Amino acid sequence: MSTHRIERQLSAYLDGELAAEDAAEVRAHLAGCESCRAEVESLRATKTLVGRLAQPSLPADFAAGVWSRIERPSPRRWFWWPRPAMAMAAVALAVILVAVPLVRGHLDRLRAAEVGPDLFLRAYAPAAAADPFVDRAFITLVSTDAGLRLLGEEPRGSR
Amino acid sequence: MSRVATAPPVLLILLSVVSLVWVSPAASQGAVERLLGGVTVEQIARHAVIAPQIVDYEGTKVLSVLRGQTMETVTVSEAHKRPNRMRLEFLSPESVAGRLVVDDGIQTWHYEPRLHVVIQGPTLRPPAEGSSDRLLERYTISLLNVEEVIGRQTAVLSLKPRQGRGERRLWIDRITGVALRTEERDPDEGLVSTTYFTRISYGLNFPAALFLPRIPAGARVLSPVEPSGPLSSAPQVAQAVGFAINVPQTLPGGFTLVGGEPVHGGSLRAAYLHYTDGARPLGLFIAPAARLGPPGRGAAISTLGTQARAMGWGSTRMVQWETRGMRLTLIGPLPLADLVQIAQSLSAR
Repeated sequence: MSTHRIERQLSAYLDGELAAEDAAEVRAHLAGCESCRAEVESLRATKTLVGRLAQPSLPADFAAGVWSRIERPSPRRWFWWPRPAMAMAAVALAVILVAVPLVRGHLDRLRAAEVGPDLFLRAYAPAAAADPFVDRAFITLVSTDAGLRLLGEEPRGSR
Repeated sequence: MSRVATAPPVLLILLSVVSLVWVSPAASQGAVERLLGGVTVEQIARHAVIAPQIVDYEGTKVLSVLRGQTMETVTVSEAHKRPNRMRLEFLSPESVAGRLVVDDGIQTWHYEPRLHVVIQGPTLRPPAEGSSDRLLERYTISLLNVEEVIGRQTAVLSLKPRQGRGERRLWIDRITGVALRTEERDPDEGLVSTTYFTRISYGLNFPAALFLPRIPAGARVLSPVEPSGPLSSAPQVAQAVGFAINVPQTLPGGFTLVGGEPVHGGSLRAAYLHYTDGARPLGLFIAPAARLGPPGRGAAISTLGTQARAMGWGSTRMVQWETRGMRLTLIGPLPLADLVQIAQSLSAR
């Protein structure tokens, strides 16, 4: 066993806190080590002196005060963030989470209004074609143009 | 020669011209019918109705359609295989050149070359044979003339709906029954669309493969309108779309509710009610106005409110307006004033 480890255990040895095996090991070491014996004596003298000091008495309501502080809820903090940048990021995220569905819903409504006539025209085309006197090529032209607009394409125009 | 001496021959010539030009309509109709050799107008109309069931043809057709204020002309190569298959190859103008449409009688496949996409849709087939009797009863049909179109003798028929306005003229091939030329006339706007063949060939016995869809390599296949099955009543349609609809069984002009279906496309969901007067189909679409932005296209119609708009494609007209939190859309081959009248009756309920 190293001397350093024995030295760390001397205080516990004096207090009787070591296990039986460790205490026997320390005793064996002290028998052969003069410096450690001197250290033990010094520690014993110090502990004796400290033991003679008068213990200050606690106030009678000390325990009750401690328990009351433990049980009392801490005041609520309305806004607590370790860093302002994180707070701003959280606010931005919340805004995005709210705004994106709103904007997307608005765009969906605009898009639905824009393509509504084409959707309805395309749905109506089979009924129009069921008229035996109507020109199927004409109905097909109108229906295919409507299909392109539903895909966001302009069937005529700048091309 | 004196002026007095020439007077009697001039008078005679004038009288002769007047007598040739002025004939009673009945006499004129009788003279034209004599050219048909005893065939009645009804027989010719019936022949036109069943022609797609009995004849194959291929030809080049010119379509002129009034869109808004402009007349647009499109040239297309059209092939028809009995009873209901069709192939269209668009030739001009450049903006549609190369567009190919194949209708196999079950579905329509539209290939758009500049986008390299194929758009699927429902078939645009003609009605099955046997529906002509009730249909013809709904029209007043008269024979206007017998004329030649691209070298073939045709009977020129005028069809006017018994209830309602407007006129359709058809140049019916005397032999095959195919309409070689058509005209749609609006009572307020005049001629709104014409179609005519510049050449045609019959009895080609096309291979069936010509009318089957062939998806070009790498082309995307899209179906922008989700198909749905037809329903027989308005409550069924309301249940399918998830909102209440309140529509009448009949509309002005003799239109009767015959069914409906939900229509879906993107975020738009609408109820589609089918009306007919026995000859002309009328579509009524209903969607909650809160789910739609303001209408962006079409001409404003002040009589139906600030959100009302009108659009037209030849004789096919559309009117959109809002009433009681719903946006309604009417589509049909009716004059605009007649559609507006129906719209007003729906708003007044």
